[in-house]
Amino acid sequence: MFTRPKTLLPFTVLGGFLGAGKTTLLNRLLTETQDTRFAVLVNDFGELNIDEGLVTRHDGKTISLSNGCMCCSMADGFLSTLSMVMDRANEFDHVVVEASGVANPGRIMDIAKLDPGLVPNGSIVLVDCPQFLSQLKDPLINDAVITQLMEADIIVMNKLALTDAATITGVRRRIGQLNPDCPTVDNVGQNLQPTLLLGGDNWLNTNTTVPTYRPASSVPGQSHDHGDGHFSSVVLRQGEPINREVFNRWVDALPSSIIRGKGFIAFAESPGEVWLWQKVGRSTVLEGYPAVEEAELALVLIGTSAMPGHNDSSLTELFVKT
Amino acid sequence: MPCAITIFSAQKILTMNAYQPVATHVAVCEGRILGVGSLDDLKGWGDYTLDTRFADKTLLPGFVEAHCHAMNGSVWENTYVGYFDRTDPDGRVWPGIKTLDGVLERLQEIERTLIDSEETLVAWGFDPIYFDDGIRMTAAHLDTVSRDRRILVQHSNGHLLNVSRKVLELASIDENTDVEGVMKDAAGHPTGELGEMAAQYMAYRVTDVRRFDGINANDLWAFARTATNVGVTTATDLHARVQDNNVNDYLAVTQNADYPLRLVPAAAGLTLSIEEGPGHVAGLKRHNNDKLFFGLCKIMTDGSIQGFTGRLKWPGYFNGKPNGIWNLPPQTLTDMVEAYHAAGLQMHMHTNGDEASELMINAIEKALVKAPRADHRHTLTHCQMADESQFRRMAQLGICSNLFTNHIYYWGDQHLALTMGPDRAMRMDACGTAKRLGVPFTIHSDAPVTPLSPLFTAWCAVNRQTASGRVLGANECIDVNDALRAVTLGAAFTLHLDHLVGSIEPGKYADFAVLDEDPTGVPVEMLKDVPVWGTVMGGTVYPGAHNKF
Repeated sequence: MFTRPKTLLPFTVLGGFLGAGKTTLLNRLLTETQDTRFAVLVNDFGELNIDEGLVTRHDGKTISLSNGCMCCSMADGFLSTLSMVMDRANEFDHVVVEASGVANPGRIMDIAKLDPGLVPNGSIVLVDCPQFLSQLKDPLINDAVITQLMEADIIVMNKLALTDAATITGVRRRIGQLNPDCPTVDNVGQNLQPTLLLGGDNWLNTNTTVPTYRPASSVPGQSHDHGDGHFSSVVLRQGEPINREVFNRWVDALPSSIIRGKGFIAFAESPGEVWLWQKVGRSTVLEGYPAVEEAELALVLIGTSAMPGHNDSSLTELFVKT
Repeated sequence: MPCAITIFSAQKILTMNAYQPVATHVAVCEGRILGVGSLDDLKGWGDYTLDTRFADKTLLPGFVEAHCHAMNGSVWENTYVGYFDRTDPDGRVWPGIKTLDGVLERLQEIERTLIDSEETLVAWGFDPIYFDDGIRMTAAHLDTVSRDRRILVQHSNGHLLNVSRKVLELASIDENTDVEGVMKDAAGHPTGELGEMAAQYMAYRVTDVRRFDGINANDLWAFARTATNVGVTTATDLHARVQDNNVNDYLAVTQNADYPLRLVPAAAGLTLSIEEGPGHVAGLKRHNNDKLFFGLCKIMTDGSIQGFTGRLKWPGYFNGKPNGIWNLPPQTLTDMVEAYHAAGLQMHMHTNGDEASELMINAIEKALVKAPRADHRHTLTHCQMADESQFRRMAQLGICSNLFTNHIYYWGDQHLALTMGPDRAMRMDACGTAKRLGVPFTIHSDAPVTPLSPLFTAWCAVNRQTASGRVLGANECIDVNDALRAVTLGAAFTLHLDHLVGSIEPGKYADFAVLDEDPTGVPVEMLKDVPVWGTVMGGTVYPGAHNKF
């Protein structure tokens, strides 16, 4: 019998057509995560290439890793596999679903909107840049490719090095038409940090503590606070309670280079109440959060290297100067 | 002959055997057919026992159903609430329910029999599209059954579900829920009708309903009982999960001497990786016995036409709905075909729309260029929309077709009005074209999608009559002999089993469908009404359950 879980699991859908690079990204996610125990549902173990040293158990349907992650094959069907994961929800911090190459990620994300144990953490859609324009011309698949892009919360431009500048310009133009203002990240080389793309290690599991930004230690020597060429982040600490209308205008004005945001905030209208604010791609959610004790009022923003930093007053004016 | 010989006499034996199409006696020895003809013809084999119990009956080769599912056995664990009459494995006829009130009454009857308040009431086969008043079921309707019970009413199309208020509450589905598939009334409250995966996922999460994880032995026994009732002695399980536990259950039932059905499980390609699938399926053949035939593989390409998920070529759906969906990227499906073909295996490909048929014809052609192989008998199953040029290519490439003629009756009116329009609806399930162009063909029920009953399926191919009584594409009708051949030798051919079953001739298994009347002697519109007495399988007589009452 189903019982409502105590903690909410972030639920991320990884979409994109065949060959877009989903498996490569998942491989890195599974091996580079530090603190987040991912349950990753994949279509096929075949192309996964997990370091054998990490594998603690492989029973044909699931692969358990020493870092607490588990990879599940959806050969028995997506829903029964997800049900199995949800029956063990307390063993994981985050659920990632690899959508099939023709699936609509929005319909998969609906599950997180419905299941009280899950919280939507965005549909990330990978674009196979060298193939994208010809995919749009292929009548067998163009409807699936277009739907995926339109449903994306975050778009990743992949395989950029394998094509030329003119093609990339064409791809950007078409994506801009299909999903204007969707935060779009370029994956140049192999430096895209999958844990950051999904919100950073423990990004959404901090139910009672401030979401602090934690650089992934697997890329030593790089300062994430000011960008590694792919991701930047800014922590904004709240001083005085902010007028709610003013805050909403500030949110609406955030540029699309900011991919994610999360944190606790209080408003001038009711300074004693704490609100949880979250942004995934274009969507933002603000909800009352009565259970927080000693919460530090602060927001974390993650974006591309193009995002504004601490020196941008339009971003920081509502917050404590650092 | 060292074995005991039984000679069955019959009023008529339709053999499907070209050199002797009609006979009166068949001799059986060790489960196989020793000879066919008159009693005099057979006496020469030596001592025999004459079994005259079928003296007033007609024998045909045991029917072969090349596209059905063994889960046809498990659906009867739940309450049937469909529009059309349906017979359960025990031979009990559940009358079709023609109104929503009637459906609620049946559910109320079941509710009164339930003792445990925690038990979920599950009904299946619901199909409001046939109701004259167009009324839809709501949670308020189900309140009249029970306010506190978890109730699931599955629609016959498999894509929709009605749930009770209790299920909505447990799943936290309310006016704030904003996802596709949760139907709402004008005031914004969920009606209780759920479509799409996410909504159904939640409904199943809050109930204790069995998640379908492949077949078990109980399902297989119930499946076989239904098969016997309708004269079927060989049946596919055409999307089989082939993990060890399922394989063991197939083995266990078929090794039981009393099991009255030969099973052809077609491994579900979707549940296997391209790398390991072909080897796994080929390896399953080591388990084969005289009632179990592994080695076939099922490839799923598109969705369904009545659900608007079949993949159509231009000009698409008649009512303007967007094109349907692929289950996997077309390139992946093409790669699968190549891999299973290269491994020497045979595939049945689910293709509803003509774009899906074309993808598979192209894939087979490509696979044949890389690995030429005679007599592969890859089969497009459903193949509902294939046009004449596609049938021509199928003939040239040696591709068989298994046409879903039951669709003409159950959804033909919808195809005419909504999905295909008056022109293309006439070419659906084109048995006449398949025959004319020399494409080997059979016809099927896809049970439990429609009832398992080869005589009904044959009636559809002969009459092409819709539920409203309209004839859909009279030029594609075939005659009774062709239709009976399709459900016997035709199906056996598409399964590579025509050397063992599908006709009554020496050397083949002694598998017969026993009919109370001669199906070639009744008016063609009565073909579906010819009573089936039961079967003979491997020489053993199995009366239908209705004959035990």
